[in-house]
Amino acid sequence: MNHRAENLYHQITGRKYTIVFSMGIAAVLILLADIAIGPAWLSIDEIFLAVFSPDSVDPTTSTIVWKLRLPIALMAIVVGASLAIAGAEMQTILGNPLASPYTLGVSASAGFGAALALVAGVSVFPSGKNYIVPINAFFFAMLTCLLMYSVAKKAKFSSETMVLAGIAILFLFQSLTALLQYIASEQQLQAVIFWLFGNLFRTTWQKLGISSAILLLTIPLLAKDAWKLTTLRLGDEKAESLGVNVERLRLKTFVLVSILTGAAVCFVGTIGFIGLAGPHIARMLVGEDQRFFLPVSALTGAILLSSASVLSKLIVPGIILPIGIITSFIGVPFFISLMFKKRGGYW
Amino acid sequence: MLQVERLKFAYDSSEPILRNIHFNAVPGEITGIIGPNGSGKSTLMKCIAGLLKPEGTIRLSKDNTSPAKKKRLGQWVSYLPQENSFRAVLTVFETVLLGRMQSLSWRVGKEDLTAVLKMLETLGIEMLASRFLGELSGGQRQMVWMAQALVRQPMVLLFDEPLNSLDIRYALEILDMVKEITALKKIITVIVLHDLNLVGKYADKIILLRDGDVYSSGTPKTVLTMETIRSVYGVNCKVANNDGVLQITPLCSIRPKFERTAH
Repeated sequence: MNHRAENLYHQITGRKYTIVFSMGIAAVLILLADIAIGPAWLSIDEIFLAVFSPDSVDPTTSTIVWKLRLPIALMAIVVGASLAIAGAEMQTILGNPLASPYTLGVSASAGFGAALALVAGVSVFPSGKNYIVPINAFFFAMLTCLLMYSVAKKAKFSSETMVLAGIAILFLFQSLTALLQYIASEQQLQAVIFWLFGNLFRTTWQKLGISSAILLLTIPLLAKDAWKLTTLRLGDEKAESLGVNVERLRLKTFVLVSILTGAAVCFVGTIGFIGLAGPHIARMLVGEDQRFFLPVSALTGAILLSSASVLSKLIVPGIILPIGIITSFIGVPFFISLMFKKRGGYW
Repeated sequence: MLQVERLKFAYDSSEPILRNIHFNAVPGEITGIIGPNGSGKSTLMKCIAGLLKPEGTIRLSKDNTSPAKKKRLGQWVSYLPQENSFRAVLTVFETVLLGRMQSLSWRVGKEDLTAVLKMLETLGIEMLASRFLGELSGGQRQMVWMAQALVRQPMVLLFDEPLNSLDIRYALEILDMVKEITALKKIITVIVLHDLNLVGKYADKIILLRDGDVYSSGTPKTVLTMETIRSVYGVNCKVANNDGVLQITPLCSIRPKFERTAH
């Protein structure tokens, strides 16, 4: 009986481990491609030498890798993973397939915070010149998360109310941002639009460090509750009867994903789709056992944003398009093809 | 034994849903809870499951002598709610495994895996182990929820209308299974059912609720009489005893027609 049970379990989980492993390799390969591709193409050897033995390559290559490509390529991985994890857990705790940082208005409110700094020079907290925009964006992202949580609690986490409230918040902040754009000077307007496109050009090692630290702190805290979060998908009553403190779990997870979302969008701007599609693709690949769903969501998000970064450099040679414009081109065909292939239904 | 005494419950400041419920349920027997819509059946189940906080006492004694601590009641109780979401993208094996929540860690132990397979085999659904919940029929899903409830090895099983949307074959199979496991494992089973014929056939004891109160309790023969059914449900019926099994045939509602249409 022991062996048969283990075999059956390994049969179910074996495929999932293979997917996690393959996606890990794919993420590394795309990261390398992202570092290699640009106005000056680099070979894999040059990348490895520049990373592990910077003195053995010429200074230009070292500068390209360390100052330009590596932080941006890593930021794509970190932000992609953060947005997808945030989307996955928002969908889990709100029981809503449409939940994501973008659809719940978090990105729009971050955009408003950024625009407020860029146009009116208003900073919600006193901060260094380089950080006014991200701090404003982070603050408004958190404010929206708090607002959404209050609405969700009041509406007893009803899917319809959540989506309606999210859309309302999205419109509200889009209108406020449009108002700021209307009164902005030409130069300010350009800066706001550039921020709203979503791009990785503003990445510095310091910003990468902050986003990575938050991602790395959040993952183990979410992983610790993997079984509880899985149980939540069976419904609140079932989860509670199995010993899960649903209210506490929801609040804890919401706080974690709010910080994660805020830290991701405040440095790179509005990047839609990944937070919505990443978890859905992960769900189609490995199901909703959070031990697999969480890492595969993160890897899907990282691969999608990294691929978008590669593509943004290839579409028009010599010009790097804002990554926020490209993400949907990458994800939508893959997402739709999976939707039609998979059996069983999702929501 | 499960002892429920002077149980009262109201949502916020509204009218009480449960007024003064008291009954005992013993291991190895099925206690059926019946009553018209809104009589408090589901609320009572949620109170026993620990999902609501009522006034009064719910006590579980392991061997009729030593009462288990109240705060630990939840770990001995498995509750199967009326509505069960099957939208989770989980296999049957994973779903049943969640029943062992209390002992699960990142790496699943052999004991948990063996318990799940054993339960799937007991209920005859081991061939569904790697299928997704969304691919199953209503009856198969109900079997999965039962397996999840039983894999915890509970002392008390609470089923709230487990036969919803099931055809008569599945309904009988599930009730046969519940009866067998209840007797075999000496479980205290409390089950809410709407079908009076089925509750008469399977329950050892019946608690009939009306407006949050126990109207009548006892064996099916003593509770399911023409008079009580007329008084509680407002329905005229015939009650026959076919070789020890009660057969209830509803005849007509006693509420005047104009009153029904007025609503």
